[in-house]
Order: sequence, then structure tokens, then C-alpha cells
Amino acid sequence: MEYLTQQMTEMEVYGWEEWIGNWFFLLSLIYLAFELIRYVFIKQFNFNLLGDTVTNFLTLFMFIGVTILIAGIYISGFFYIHQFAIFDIGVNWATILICIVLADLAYYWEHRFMHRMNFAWATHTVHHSSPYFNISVAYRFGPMDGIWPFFFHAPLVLLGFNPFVVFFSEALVQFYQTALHTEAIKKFPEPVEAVMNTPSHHRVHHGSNEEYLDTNYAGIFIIWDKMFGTFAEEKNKVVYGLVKPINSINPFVAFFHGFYRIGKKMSNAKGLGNKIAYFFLPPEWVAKNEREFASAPTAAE
Amino acid sequence: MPSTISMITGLIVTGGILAAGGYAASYFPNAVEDGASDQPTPNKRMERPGTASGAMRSIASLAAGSEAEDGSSAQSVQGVPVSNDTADTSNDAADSDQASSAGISLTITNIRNDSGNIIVLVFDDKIAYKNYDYEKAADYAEIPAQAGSMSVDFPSLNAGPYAIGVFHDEDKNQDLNVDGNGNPTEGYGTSGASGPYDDPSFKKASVSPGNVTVKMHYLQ
Repeated sequence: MEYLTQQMTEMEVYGWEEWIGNWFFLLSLIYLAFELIRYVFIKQFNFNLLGDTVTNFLTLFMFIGVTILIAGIYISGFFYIHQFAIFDIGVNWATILICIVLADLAYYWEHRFMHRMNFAWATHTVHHSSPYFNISVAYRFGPMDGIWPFFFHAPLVLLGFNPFVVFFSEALVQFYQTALHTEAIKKFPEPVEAVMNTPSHHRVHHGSNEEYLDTNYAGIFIIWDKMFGTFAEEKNKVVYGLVKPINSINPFVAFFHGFYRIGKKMSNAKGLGNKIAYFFLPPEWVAKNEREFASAPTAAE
Repeated sequence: MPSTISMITGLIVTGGILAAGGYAASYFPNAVEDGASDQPTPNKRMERPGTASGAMRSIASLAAGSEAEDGSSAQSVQGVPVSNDTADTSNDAADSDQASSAGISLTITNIRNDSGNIIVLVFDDKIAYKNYDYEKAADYAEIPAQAGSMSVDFPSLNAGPYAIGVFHDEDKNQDLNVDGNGNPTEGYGTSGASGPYDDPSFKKASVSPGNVTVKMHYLQ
């Protein structure tokens, strides 16, 4: 118990984050090998799947490149805000545990925001654009995926959590979700499914089925979706990917299609009002004067 | 698009949970240890006098460093002016004529004995005052106590406003001793305080250069 309140240095916290992240990555690769073998066994393995898997990691590297460029601004932004900290909160496992729960709540809203506003969807659509669902998809990231978290986790820093504690918590919310990207694990016992985010819940989130769209935004705990009315149970077989698929394993198509699509919508739109609307509104929205040409008003991209 | 009301409700609920979490986490602040300093800036936040001895622990850690070197309790902090007014127990008329340009002339009253030292911390910054962050104090003095009243001058403090805290460190442990309930067993006082249980804000404690009187309070 006393171990939980023992003060750590910021570098120790960062060290833990690196250690956990590296091990997660290694174990993910091992699990990926298992999943690929499983695909062979269930006769779903093909070149497209393999290409998509490689593309997932290529988007990861591009994402890391972008994130490194803004890392300095991100970190110094957090430390600037931390000067105005409301509470005096120490650096120890007890506060990290609390921060993880709060970061999970912050992530729920960040994730919902990234699905429901086009200018943010432009980067998150990358992650959802794979027609497959295996652990390599967990590493499929878009160009601005490392930028939006800043705004949703800054309140935690303002509350008084040390920036490194917040980084650790953000990372842990991400690491946990890595393990959810699989079809090989069906459903857990009911108590687990009721509280935690699970592969089943996350499959639903990645589904382009009508009833699964815009649900299960959770990171670690599914309770936020239940609390805020965005929960859906896995019943029908999930169809993965986007409502309008990209049909490509080209890593550049994967990484940039979101920006390309929003750019096209805004440039094709008639009138400044519609252009601005396309920027801020949800992906399924179509301008009035274009509606007769759209496939369906509720089609999401 | 969910209704505006449900979005607002959601955000209010979220805000409440975040606030509760932050408040709960504040029960695990960073510890301040005597002499220990594995952080670059020790004592970011200290507790207010009259409630705990956190403030004095910071001075103890500062003194512990110098104590190791010369084997005796530090009588003064390097680079900070310390005046010992044993011969001058009241303000000169000349001083009060030049009050506005001769800094602060502090009189401490109600000191109960000659034991130990009087420690004075002068702050010109609201956050430093709130945290009793001695590193950001505008000035500091540590002088042998005299029963009754005594004076300390800070001639360089000509800006302001300033908030002043004083302690009677009777046992010279460079710490404001408290009992099990957190009540001080040594003397303490703050400029602008209305009584022993008053913990004035920076604004209420603020004084300008000139003559200032602070009363020492003893609970036990």
C-alpha cells in the first residue's frame, strides 16, 4: 500500500511508459503471427490481407514522424498549463491510477469528437479504413492522431496531474486498446463485458453496419458509452472498414484519404456556408443542394 | 446529433468526475522531506503556518545543507540581508520620515520569551505566499528572539505590496512545531491577520513599505 504513495521522478514514470509500450509492441507482434496463422487455417489469408498488414505499420511510422515533430510543442504546452494547476497532486502510482481513469473519460470524448466532426474524422478515418480486424490494425494511425489528444488531456494537467503522469495515462489507455483489435477472442464473462472494453465491444466500434455506426467509443472502460448513450452490443456479424471503403492497400492512400475526402467535399461544395459546414459537421452530412445525388442521407464515410 | 441538452449534461457530468478525481488525487501530494532533494526545485507547495509545519520543513532542508558544512545551524541565508536590532528596539523618527524609500521597518510584538530565533518571510508574489515558497520570497530574516517587541529592517524592499509571515522558532529546529492536531506549539503571525485563527489572503495580508507591525500568536 505504501508503495502506491511512494514518490517517483518524472523520468521513472517515463521509463515505465517506455517499458510497457515496448513489451506491448513485442507481444503484439507475436500475437500477430498467431493471427496470421489463424487466417491461413480459416482460409482467409490472401495477399491483400498481408499488404494491408504491412500498410498498418507503414502508417504507424508516418504517424510517429509527425508526432515527433510536434512533441516539443505538446510537452511544453502541458508544462505551461501545469503552472496553473488547481490541485497539488504528487507523482506516484496512486495518482497514476486515478489519472488513468480520468484519461479514459477524456479519451471517450476525444474519440467521439474524432468520429463526429469532419476535420477530426479526416485523421481518424485512417484507423477505421482497414477492411480487416487484427492486432496490426491497432497500429494503423492517421496524420493528426497525435495532436487532438492534447486538447482533451490538457484539463487533466490543469487539474494538477504532472504532465508525465498524464502522458503515461494517455499511453496506457492506448496500449489497453491495442489488445482489443482481434477476431480471435469472442466474448468474456458477463461481468467483464459489462464494465471493461473488450474485443467484442471494439469490433462493434469498427463495424460499418448501420446499427454499429458511431458506438462504443470507450478506451478501457465501456461504462462511459453506457452512461452517455453510445453503447451497442455485438449481435450480427461485423462488417469492418468504412461505409465508403478505400479499396486500397497503398499506404499513402490509407494515410491521406481522410484529408483528400474532406478536401474534395469542401472544394465541390457550393457556397462558403456549405464549405464551412462540411468542415465541422459529421461525416454523413450532405449539403441540401447535393442530396439528390447522394446514395443515402445517413451514409457515413 | 444528440440533443444539446444531453451533450451539455454529458459535459457537466464529465466535469464533475474530473473535478472529483483531481480532488481525490490531491490527497497524494508530493512529500517534502528534511534534507532530501531529489527534485530540482524542492517544496513547490508548502502548507500554511498555523496548520502544519510544512513551511518550516523547507527551511530545515535549506539549513541542513549548510549545517553539514559548518556544523552549526545557519544563522542567515547567504545573500539575504539579516539585521539584528538588539540595540534598536523601536523605530527612529528619522526612519519614519523616509519610510517610503527606506523599505520595510517591521516590528514584531507579543514575543513570549528570548528562546531560539524569530524567522521572517516576506513575499511579493501571491502564489509564493500561498505556497510559502521561501525560494521565491522577496526577503528573509532569522534573528535571535527577544521577549516583548523587536524590530527587523528590510531597507531594500521599496516596491510592494508585500505579505509577511513570522515564526518563533523557540527550539531552533528551523521548523514550526505542531501537535497531533496540527496546531502550532510555537509562535506564529502574519501581516494583516485579525487573530490567531485568521489565515489572510495575499490581498488582506498586503502591506506597503513603511512601518509594519505583526503580532506573534501562541496557541499553547
